[in-house]
Amino acid sequence: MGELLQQVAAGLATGSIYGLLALALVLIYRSTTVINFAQGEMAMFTTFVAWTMLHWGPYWLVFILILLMAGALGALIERVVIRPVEGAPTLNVIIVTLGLFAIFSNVATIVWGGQPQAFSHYPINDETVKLGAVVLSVHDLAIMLFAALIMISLYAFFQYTPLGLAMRATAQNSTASRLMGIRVGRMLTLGWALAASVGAVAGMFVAPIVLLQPPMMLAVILYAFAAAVLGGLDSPFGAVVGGLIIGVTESLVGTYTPKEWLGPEMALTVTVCIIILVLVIRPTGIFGKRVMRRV
Amino acid sequence: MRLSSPFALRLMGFALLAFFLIYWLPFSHALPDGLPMRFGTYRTIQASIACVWVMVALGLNILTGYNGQISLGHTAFVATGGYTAAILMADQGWPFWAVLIPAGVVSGALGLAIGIPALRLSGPYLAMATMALALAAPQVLKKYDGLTHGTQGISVRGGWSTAPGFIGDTVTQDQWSYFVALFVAVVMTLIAWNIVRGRVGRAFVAIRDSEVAAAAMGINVPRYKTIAFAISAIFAGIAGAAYTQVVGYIAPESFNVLRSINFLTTIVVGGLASITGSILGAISFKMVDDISDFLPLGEGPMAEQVPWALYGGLLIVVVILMPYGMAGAIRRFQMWLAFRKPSERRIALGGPALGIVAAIAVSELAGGSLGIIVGLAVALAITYSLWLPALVRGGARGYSRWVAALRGSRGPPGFATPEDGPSDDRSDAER
Repeated sequence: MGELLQQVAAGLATGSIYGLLALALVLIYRSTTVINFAQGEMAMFTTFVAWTMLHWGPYWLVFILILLMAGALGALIERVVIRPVEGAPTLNVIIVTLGLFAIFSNVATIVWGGQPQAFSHYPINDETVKLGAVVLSVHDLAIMLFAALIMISLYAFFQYTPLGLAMRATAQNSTASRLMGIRVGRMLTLGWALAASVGAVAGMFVAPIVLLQPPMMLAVILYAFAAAVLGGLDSPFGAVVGGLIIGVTESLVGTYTPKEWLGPEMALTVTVCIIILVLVIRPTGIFGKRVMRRV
Repeated sequence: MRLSSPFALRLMGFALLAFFLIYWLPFSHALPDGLPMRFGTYRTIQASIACVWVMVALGLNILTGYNGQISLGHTAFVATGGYTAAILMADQGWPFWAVLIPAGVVSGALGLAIGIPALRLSGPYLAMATMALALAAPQVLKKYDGLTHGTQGISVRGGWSTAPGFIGDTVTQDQWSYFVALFVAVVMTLIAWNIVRGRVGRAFVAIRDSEVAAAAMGINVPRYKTIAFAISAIFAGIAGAAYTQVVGYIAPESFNVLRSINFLTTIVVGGLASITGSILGAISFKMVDDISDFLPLGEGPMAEQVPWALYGGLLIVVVILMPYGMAGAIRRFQMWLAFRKPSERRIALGGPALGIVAAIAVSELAGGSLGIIVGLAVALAITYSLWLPALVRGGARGYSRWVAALRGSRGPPGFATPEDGPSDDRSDAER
């Protein structure tokens, strides 16, 4: 029982990271129906910038600065390369994000080199905390805490502020929002900025675990995509739940399936099979809205 | 018969293409004596792999471009075909020509199996489900190593197709593999052409444009959507078999999910719902590998990263400026040309003509990809000099105006706005 709880807790910690990045994907998808495949690489890039800045300043100051810078980066990307393809087929926009992916991952390697770097100025140490039968590192706890914090503040922002309301309106019906006087273009830019900031947080938490290196977000972004799809692409809540489900499933499959023909190496395969199964039963994800089509 | 009649032009075009593919590409390094030819064997292998990617792109374009179903899992189909071929050739001793059909059949069966659950999914959900396949493929291949030889992969160098008798004396193994790949690619192109122009292809397009309308016209929507998946997988499987022949070796890591994503990029850049587009996209994608050969980057990480960073930038520019890919750009160029003054037409056509000459000349002297890039630059520079004033004027009025000028009706040809693409090109892949 203790072993099971331990595995679930470990799964929840990694799942929170997937969930955070999935949340970033959903923020963009809701307003523009585009999967931003560059999300993970943007986060990796900002984390590298943070790593450079940590040589000069304290962690929490850098953390806040990076959130702002990531937001600015997201806004810039939306204005410069996403805006021109606004009316084009969605597939074209996805290809643009893939182009960004190539740029960020390769520029990061050119600037900072391909060697893994320890994210050493990280203030949260490796000490563990005992919660009942479960032993968790402080880092894992911090991840879960931050994921929850971001979820709650985003929820409050969308639900209780006029700006959040305007953004939700834009996501729901951009033509009507424009007629109501909402600056739709600005809302889209803001959406990208928010998503980039949320992604940057995920990057800052992944780096201490897997070492800071250009391909570090590659697996994470694929899992985050899976999480967002599993939860339903228009539901921010679903994205986080999807991330947690995937994290826990992976952790459990790795531990409890027979080693001869499944085991840890096949954890990913089993997880994606489960996702496909869920999708076949619920084609728009667990919390996704069913789309009615008028002919 | 006049030399400029459409038939004569087309004939000359085909003759030039045949010369290029059958003689110049595999053999030309032997032509001028004493010149530093570093592009002999290497270029032949690159061209053979380009033939393989052309087949994958054709299959994916039938599924995504014509039928509107997105797939991020095509490496799994390529791997299935490739492994079927490799196991039959290396372990069972089958000849190459005999394994093509089993490779297609096994991969097609997998496509059928994926196509049925895919009926319920669309857009990003379908993309995720197919990407799952691509994610799982390398792991499955590594884990069940009784059949697949695990991480070490399978080498077919002992059992691959070699040139028969007298031909074997004149061509090397790489050149022979190139001809094999070219032959298979040409046959598959003809098959693809016939599929998309026939009843089945029209059913695919009808389903893509509106499933309800297609069903009302009496098309069995689930059946044709599943068939599209199967056909697409057959193309990828046969491409996989050709890949095994060309490379002589196959391993789980040859097929990761990033390559799947690249296939999708290929057909969007080339042009969705277009046979020409699939071919152009696959070839241009293969050329990215070569950029590092002529940029002064030296060895090490710079030589590997800079071309791909440039590729990313190029991808964005191409997609912004040519929403319908290269095929759409060519079509638009033809339309534009039909309504021009003869003087402008001469300049516009002279660009590509001089470009081809420059491409051949430079690649003979310095190497294949540099030649193609220089040729492209010459062609674009001459052709687009006609619109330079308009572009400068647009640029002076701000970024978005400039992009609009590039894409708009008064901008250069080939840069269609989404609104004026031909209806056949409009893709619902994402809806």
